[in-house]
Amino acid sequence: MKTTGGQRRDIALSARVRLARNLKDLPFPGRMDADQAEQALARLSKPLLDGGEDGFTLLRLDDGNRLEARALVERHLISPELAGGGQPRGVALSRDGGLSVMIGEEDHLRIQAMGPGLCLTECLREAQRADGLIERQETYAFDEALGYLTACPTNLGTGLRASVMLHLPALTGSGGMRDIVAAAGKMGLAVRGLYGEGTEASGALYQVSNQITLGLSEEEIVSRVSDVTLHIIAREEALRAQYKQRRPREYEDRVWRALGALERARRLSGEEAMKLLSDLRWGVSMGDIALPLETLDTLLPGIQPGVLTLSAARPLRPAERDAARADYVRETLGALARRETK
Amino acid sequence: MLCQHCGKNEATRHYHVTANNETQETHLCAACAAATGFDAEFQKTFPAAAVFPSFAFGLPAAMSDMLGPRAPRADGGVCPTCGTRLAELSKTGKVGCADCYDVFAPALTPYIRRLHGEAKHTGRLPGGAAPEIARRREMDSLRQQLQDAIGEQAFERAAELRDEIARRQKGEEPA
Ligand SMILES: [Zn+2]
Ligand SMILES: [Zn+2]
Repeated sequence: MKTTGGQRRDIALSARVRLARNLKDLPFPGRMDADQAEQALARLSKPLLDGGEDGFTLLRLDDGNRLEARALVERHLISPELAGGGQPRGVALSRDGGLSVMIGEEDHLRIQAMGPGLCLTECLREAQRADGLIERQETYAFDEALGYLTACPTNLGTGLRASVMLHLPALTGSGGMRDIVAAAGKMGLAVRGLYGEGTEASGALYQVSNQITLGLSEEEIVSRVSDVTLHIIAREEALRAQYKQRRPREYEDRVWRALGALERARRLSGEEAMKLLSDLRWGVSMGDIALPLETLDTLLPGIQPGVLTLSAARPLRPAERDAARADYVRETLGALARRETK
Repeated sequence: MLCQHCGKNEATRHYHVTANNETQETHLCAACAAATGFDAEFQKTFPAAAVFPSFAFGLPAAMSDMLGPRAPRADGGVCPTCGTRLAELSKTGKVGCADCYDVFAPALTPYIRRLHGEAKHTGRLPGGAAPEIARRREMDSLRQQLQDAIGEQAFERAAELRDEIARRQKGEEPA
């Protein structure tokens, strides 16, 4: 994406805007036969591949290439539903990774734009630009009152889901997430743990997103998600300052211990790595440990099982995977340290 | 939906409170939400809540819960375009094609209302339909302004608006 990234990268890792669209003249993916799915894939990828400037490439996901699909899910470029295979389907990815257009998921089209930091406005602009490329050649299913027609009525209207990924270790540690989730729910926003199951968010990572898609303009939705996100960030910030002030030694031990373990460990389970990375990121984002946040944030997808297996280019047993994870983290941090001392 | 407290105003605030695995729904107008303290609880968590009026909906309950009891008999309900049956729709919560929204409108409308409120699409328009719909939205807005002007007894303004609407209906450019 042609953006320098959004604000508050210390707490907001990334932002994403997704638009759901369907072709007017074909049944929705759940009701397509293989020929129709093939046709949708060809028709919807063509305007993107012809586009040129974004350098889109189409990746088919119906051919049983499960490992690559899983790695794309872990990098949040496609949804688990699309990775599931079956009917002809695929994803068009822009060269810089800022645009990911899923074809043949629950809706014919899921146009996604993402970038670092709280950059929803830029994401919306990019997603709408890709939307425009396709719309010049195709006609969408649309109703004046209901807006863009989607397979699930929860997405009607704008078809827009705006979300922000947040790192909230202080709120998580203080038990404050329960209130945040409840309050956001009353605002029509959902707050979910990003990795891990249920309410127990692994790595203190959460996703904030809108639930309502109909009756508000795209700009209104985006600005509301941004505003609520800024409130959550302010809360996290206050709790972080409080913790550091009241228990300075505990805070320092926690973030430096995480760096030590990540730099030296020879085996890391996924759960342990997420916890340590969360603590380290806390120290780095407070300015107490001098490491580039961007590199730290690339470690996050890198330690997920599918990505590790893909990098190894062979199936890994769990113990091997824990070793590969530790090696990957150690080498990445080691390369940073070497650059630092030069 | 009307406010459960006063029964007079449109409910613009919808709360879902879960306790003992049971979700209690409360629908209030803004005034009653403030009066009953529902908003106070919320503002403890978000002090700036007041700047987001009528943007308060909880998570949608499962569609089957909502559709089940009042859904019309499923045997006759089939979408001729895609073959989706009402029974499938209420189980999966997903329609099969654009026409399903017409075919199953009686079942879907209350569900959509509970998800999104009494809302109409106000966002982006697709290129083909845009000029026509944009014109209609403007006319709706002018008519609303006319009503408001009459309500406020601003008759000079009302006369201007009436002329403007008439001009547009004849397909002329605005003066
Ligand atoms: Zn009331
Ligand atoms: Zn249908």
